[in-house]
Amino acid sequence: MDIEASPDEQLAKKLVRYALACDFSRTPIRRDGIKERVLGDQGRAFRRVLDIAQNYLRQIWGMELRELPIREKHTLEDKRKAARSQSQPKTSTGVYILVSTLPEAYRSPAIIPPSRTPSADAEAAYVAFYTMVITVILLNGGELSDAKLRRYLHRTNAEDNVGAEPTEEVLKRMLSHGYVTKHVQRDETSQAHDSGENTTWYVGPRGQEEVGIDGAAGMIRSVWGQQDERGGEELEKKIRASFGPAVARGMGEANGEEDGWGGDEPA
Amino acid sequence: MIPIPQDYNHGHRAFLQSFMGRGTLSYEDARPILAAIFTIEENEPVTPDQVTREDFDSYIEAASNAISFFDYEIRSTVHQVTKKPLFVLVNTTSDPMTRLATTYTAEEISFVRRMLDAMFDSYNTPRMEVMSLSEMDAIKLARPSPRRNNGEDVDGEGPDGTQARTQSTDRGLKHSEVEKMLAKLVGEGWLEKSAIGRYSLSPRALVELRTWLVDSFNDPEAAPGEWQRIKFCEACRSIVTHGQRCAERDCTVRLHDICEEAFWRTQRAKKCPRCSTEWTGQKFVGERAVTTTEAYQRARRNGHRRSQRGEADGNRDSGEDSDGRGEE
Ligand SMILES: [Zn+2]
Ligand SMILES: [Zn+2]
Repeated sequence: MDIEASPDEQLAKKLVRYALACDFSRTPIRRDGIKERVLGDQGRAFRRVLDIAQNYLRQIWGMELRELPIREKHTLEDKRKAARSQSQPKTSTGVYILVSTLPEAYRSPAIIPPSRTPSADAEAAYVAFYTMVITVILLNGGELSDAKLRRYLHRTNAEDNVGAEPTEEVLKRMLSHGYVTKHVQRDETSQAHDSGENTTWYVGPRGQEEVGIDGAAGMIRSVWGQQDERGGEELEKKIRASFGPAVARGMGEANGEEDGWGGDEPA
Repeated sequence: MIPIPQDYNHGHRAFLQSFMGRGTLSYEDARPILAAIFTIEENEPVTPDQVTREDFDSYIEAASNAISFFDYEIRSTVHQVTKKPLFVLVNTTSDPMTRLATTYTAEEISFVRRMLDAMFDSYNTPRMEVMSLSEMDAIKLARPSPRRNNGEDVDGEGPDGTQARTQSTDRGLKHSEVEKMLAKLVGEGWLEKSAIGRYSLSPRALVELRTWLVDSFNDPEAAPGEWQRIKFCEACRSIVTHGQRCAERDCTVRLHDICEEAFWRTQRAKKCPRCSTEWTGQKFVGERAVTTTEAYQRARRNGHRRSQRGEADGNRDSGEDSDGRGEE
């Protein structure tokens, strides 16, 4: 059956296919990638084509491309730099991920399979690890120095390996998947090159989307929650205290429809 | 505007998401999924055994119609070994190398290419149609072979020319990366790993790559009946990478184990329909081409890891009998 499709619709179809292929391997979908792989010399049609593609994705797949929120200016220096710079402040990241637009009930694991990376076990270990790291970052008010992260990894016996994989590799993957981001302060007086001393870790855009506050809180309760009463109370206090400011900073943008990475999920 | 199918609702969308996430779907896999969907829609518990074949077929059809504009198609197939009927969501446009290029690095793609070449060329000769690889075989493919540079396939390799372009700068994969890559290909449903640890194409890959495999490995100018790398089952007409072969080496008749019974019922004698050689059922395509060799059997009995014959690599996977009383 041949369907008469306009040139824009043809491009939107290509965009849908591209988005689905990227999503399959959790490759971030970038506007530049779309322009290069999908639009070619039709780069200026981006908005129009995206709108049509979004409609296809919603109507047929119950999904849509969501642009990841721009990272806030973390440090005073960042802010100063931004203020000094002549250019318009960036208003968008140009990075998208595919998210479900279906009502919550249709997103249950009974329907939607766990992601199809190497093996269920490796995937579970990965999920557990990035959820932990995100949780620790959030517990520290949304940012974590590299030294603190390393201490934490040491305490949890994860400084060298996560499962069978070197920790550095896993962290790299988390960065590339957008679960975390890091900021390296270039200090002119110090010779240190990415030595970790000036590195700060933040929750990445995908981490905010897929884990977020709810997921982190659920994780804390399920992993550390089974302690004595005093510890439990302390924990809840800490959750409230730590997540408060983070929420205030707009972390919970997708709140409400966020898929609670609930405490019932085995880690 | 492309037509959105009538009555296409959240349940259909969820079913499609579920199908795409899995890549393949059987009726048995689908029943709990549809039960969960019906439970939401009817607002009362529906159990998997209440889901009917008609329900399943109608969801498959709805999904199929919805995605056809996007050059996806749902095809049915049967697993060559387990006989499980499966539906496969197939990408009908791009060839596999172009597909992989979206998300794999150039080094990874050329590794996949070397792996396919090994499966269907090096390890698929008239004498030994192994069509599968052990992990050791795969590790040997980690780096591009220098021999190939002046070999027969510098030109025209792969419709997109990936191979030719990357050949000079391709540093290949590390062994640990090969292992990861194999796991990834299994995870994404391209490869299957057998009980003895050999890798072969999954039912999904065979359906999706059918045309590409024929185009890449068969000689369109070959005379009828001449040996070709990709061969089809005499009964069901799909590709055989695990099955039986005619005892006459030069005869190209192949048969799936799972198709055999029904096939012989339609024949007067258990003889090859083309060359009339007695059908022994003891000549194999797939990993049994390795495991039934004298060399492999002897190696197993002797309990040493390596056999003298290159093709019998499969025995490496029987790791339990390492350090036995080898003769070396
Ligand atoms: Zn057959
Ligand atoms: Zn024959």
